Amino acid sequence: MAPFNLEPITRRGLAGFYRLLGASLIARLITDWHAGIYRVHTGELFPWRHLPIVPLYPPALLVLEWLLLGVSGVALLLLVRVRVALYVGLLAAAMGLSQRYSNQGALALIVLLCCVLQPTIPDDLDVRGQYPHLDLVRYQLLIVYVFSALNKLRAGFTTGQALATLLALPLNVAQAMSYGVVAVELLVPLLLVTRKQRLAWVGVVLLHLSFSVLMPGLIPFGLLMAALATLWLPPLPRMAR
Amino acid sequence: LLVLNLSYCVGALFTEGLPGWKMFESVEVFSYRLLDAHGRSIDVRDYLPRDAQLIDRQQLRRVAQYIREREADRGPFRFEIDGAVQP
Repeated sequence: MAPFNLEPITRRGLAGFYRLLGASLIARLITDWHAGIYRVHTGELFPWRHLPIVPLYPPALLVLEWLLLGVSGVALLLLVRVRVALYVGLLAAAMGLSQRYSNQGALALIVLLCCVLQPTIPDDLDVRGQYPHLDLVRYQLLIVYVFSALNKLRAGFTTGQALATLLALPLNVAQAMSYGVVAVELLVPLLLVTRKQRLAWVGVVLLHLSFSVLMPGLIPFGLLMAALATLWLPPLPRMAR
Repeated sequence: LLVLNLSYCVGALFTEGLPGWKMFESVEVFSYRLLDAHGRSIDVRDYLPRDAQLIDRQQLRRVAQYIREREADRGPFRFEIDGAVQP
């Protein structure tokens, strides 16, 4: 049962969502490679953010994980064999998360898990566009932003000290930016539930574009959040009745 | 699933160390030094993936421990955080 009425999912929105999801998986592969994750698995680097549940696997398995990630990403980007790509992406995301925790990895796993509950391609969509499993994906955007903002407020992020340290900024600049980040994280869900989806989409893209410029390692997460925002987009005005 | 998801996020909000959409909300400010037996400084970042951000002392201690084990032949080491020698 939905907490509130959502607009139907459009073919265009679903296609855009899959393409950006695919782009996010490819970006994850590139950033992992660039960050030197392979060297973590050869034992040269510290096993960064490795949760000690599943042992760190050998480089050959990392290559397999990246291969699955790349295949899934390209297929989703091109909208080819989407259903298979969702399952392959889910497997790659689960493998990745077992080796290094990241918000992007966790979000990709949740999103792909929801998608495979009822793998749906854009051509499957009917006019009513009611797909509870895709609604779960849409709600995930609200959950990420609201809880990210609450965590930040609770931890004192708005003092600006965190961004000042991370980005080597003057404290007053960092504090203004911190308030801006929290404001956008709270504003986007509000815009979405009040059906100002296009404005919310612009907010999501601008927020993550800023993060990505300052910290390029966050590009995959930004693309994934943009994918979720795309799923909220209503039909184009000329298509709406 | 939605209720389960929300319940977990509320739990994570009030539980230190539990992942739950926590994104650089808190960054500790600290200085550190890791020196080998000859007094040569070791840059901890050389042993981390490129995008890794050291944002708390606990993480730093784990990385320093990894380096001390990996580079055991360069020991004994002297490891300080904020001027205090670490065990």
